Amino acid sequence: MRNTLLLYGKEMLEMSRSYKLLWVPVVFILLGVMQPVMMYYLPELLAASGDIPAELASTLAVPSAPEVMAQVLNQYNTIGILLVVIAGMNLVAGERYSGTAALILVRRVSPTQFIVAKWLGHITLIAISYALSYLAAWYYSSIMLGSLAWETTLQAGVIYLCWILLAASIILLFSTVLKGGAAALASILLLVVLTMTHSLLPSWFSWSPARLAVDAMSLLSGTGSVNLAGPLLLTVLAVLLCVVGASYIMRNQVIQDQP
Amino acid sequence: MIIQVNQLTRKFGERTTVKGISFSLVKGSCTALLGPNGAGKTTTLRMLAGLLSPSSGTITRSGRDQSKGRLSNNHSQIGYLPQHPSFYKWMSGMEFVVYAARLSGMSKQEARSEAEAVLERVGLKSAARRRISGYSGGMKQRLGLAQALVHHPDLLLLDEPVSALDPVGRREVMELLQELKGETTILLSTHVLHDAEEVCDRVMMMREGEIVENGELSDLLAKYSLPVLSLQLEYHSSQNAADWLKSLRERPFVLEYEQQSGAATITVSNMKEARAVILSEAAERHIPLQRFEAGSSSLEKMFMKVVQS
Repeated sequence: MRNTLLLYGKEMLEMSRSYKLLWVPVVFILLGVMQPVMMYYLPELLAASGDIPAELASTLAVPSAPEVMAQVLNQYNTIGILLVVIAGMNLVAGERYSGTAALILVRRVSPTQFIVAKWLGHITLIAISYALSYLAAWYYSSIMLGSLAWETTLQAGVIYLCWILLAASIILLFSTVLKGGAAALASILLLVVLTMTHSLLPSWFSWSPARLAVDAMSLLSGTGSVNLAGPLLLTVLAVLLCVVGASYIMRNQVIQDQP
Repeated sequence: MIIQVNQLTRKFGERTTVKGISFSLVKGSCTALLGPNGAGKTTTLRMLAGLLSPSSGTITRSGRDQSKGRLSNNHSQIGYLPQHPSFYKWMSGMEFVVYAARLSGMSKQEARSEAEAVLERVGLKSAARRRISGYSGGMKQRLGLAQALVHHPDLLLLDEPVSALDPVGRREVMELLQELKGETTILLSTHVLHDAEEVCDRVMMMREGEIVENGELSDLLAKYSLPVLSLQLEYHSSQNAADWLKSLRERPFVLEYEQQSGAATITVSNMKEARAVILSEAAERHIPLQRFEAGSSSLEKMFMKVVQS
């Protein structure tokens, strides 16, 4: 426990010194705010361009705030997930291949403590970035596009957080097994497969963690049924599996001691 | 017995880097792991440090089997210096050593005072507050030594501790190792024989993954000593002296004779007689001898002999 906290403290210090604690939240916030602002100005922009027939322009209405929040989640699902994966692809691989892990693991540090601290560090970064971004999107949507029911919006935000934390855990697992770029690619592929299988065969994959993303969106837009128990349980299990799996793999891994 | 190694083997695919070596280290000893490049020294040290699991064989440390993966949380302490240590470049030297000490179980205050002491000891006191990214190669090597020492390990594993240092740095580190000899058990790998001769009292020689020789330095020196005389004349010596040097070839006690300009290496059958004859003749004829060495081959020759045989 003591070691895990020490290692976690080092993770946070490293992220602040490398400005990761700054740029990841900033990019996330931009991503979240862009959608409501774009949607708000889109009709005006189109009208200003002048080539739109009047009939078409009149059908272009500014969407409601809940709809835009659902679109924001959709943005997270592509670029947001990519950001989570890229920010975490060298989490373990970086230390394992540069040789810095060697000097740590010869001490009274177990691979489990090492992995758990890495995981906590990444989770902290992603949760902070996501929360700030979601709140910013919420704020802009509500002042520009009308009020949002705070209960459902909060619920949807928390549900989506679980999905994004699963992505953060998956990159931890792959970063333990593969080198940076390959780890990122493998994680993206896995996440795409999860999403695709669920959207192609929703009845077969009703327990899929990808369901969380879909449910969060339908909760906001008020369409479709929401069934959370199964996907939530499976997501928690998958996150645990990632952390336990990464620790187990690291236990028997060759740790390079020079770059 | 601080560590006991039994039939330790490591394969990398088809290649076997370490082939079933067995040895043990006595508490407080200083052992040099000698061998040419690619002999398996680094692989052995990495297995001892627990960074590489053996393909087969056991490592028993203080009576506990270590080779079952890196799960040990309470093992006796090891200090490990890799050949090219790499650090968190965004930390200062001081921060890294404190971090390392705390991960080895020291309290905050203890870690701080120990880190200060050890950084002074390795000569990094003035650079302790600087970021590691600005350190030179030699400074990194010293920092590596500092992090290996800070928690007072009972076993110190050093992979080529001086090969990256300049002569002054080398000298300082060798002196530091001399000091440490009494405090802890040291196993260091090197291919520079002179270093081994200087600090260690035991030598293990490796060749192609096997230990070919293992013992007290003095025993090995006696075992491999050769009845060899080596002479060197002053650079601008007279023809007279050169002729005398050449004439030594004809003496009855000479078995082998080798000459390179003003220097000769002579293998003799009777060391006592040969030394007496040569020294008295040289004195008589006022031969300008620059160097005269009799007896034991240095570790260098022994090394070549063991490694090539």
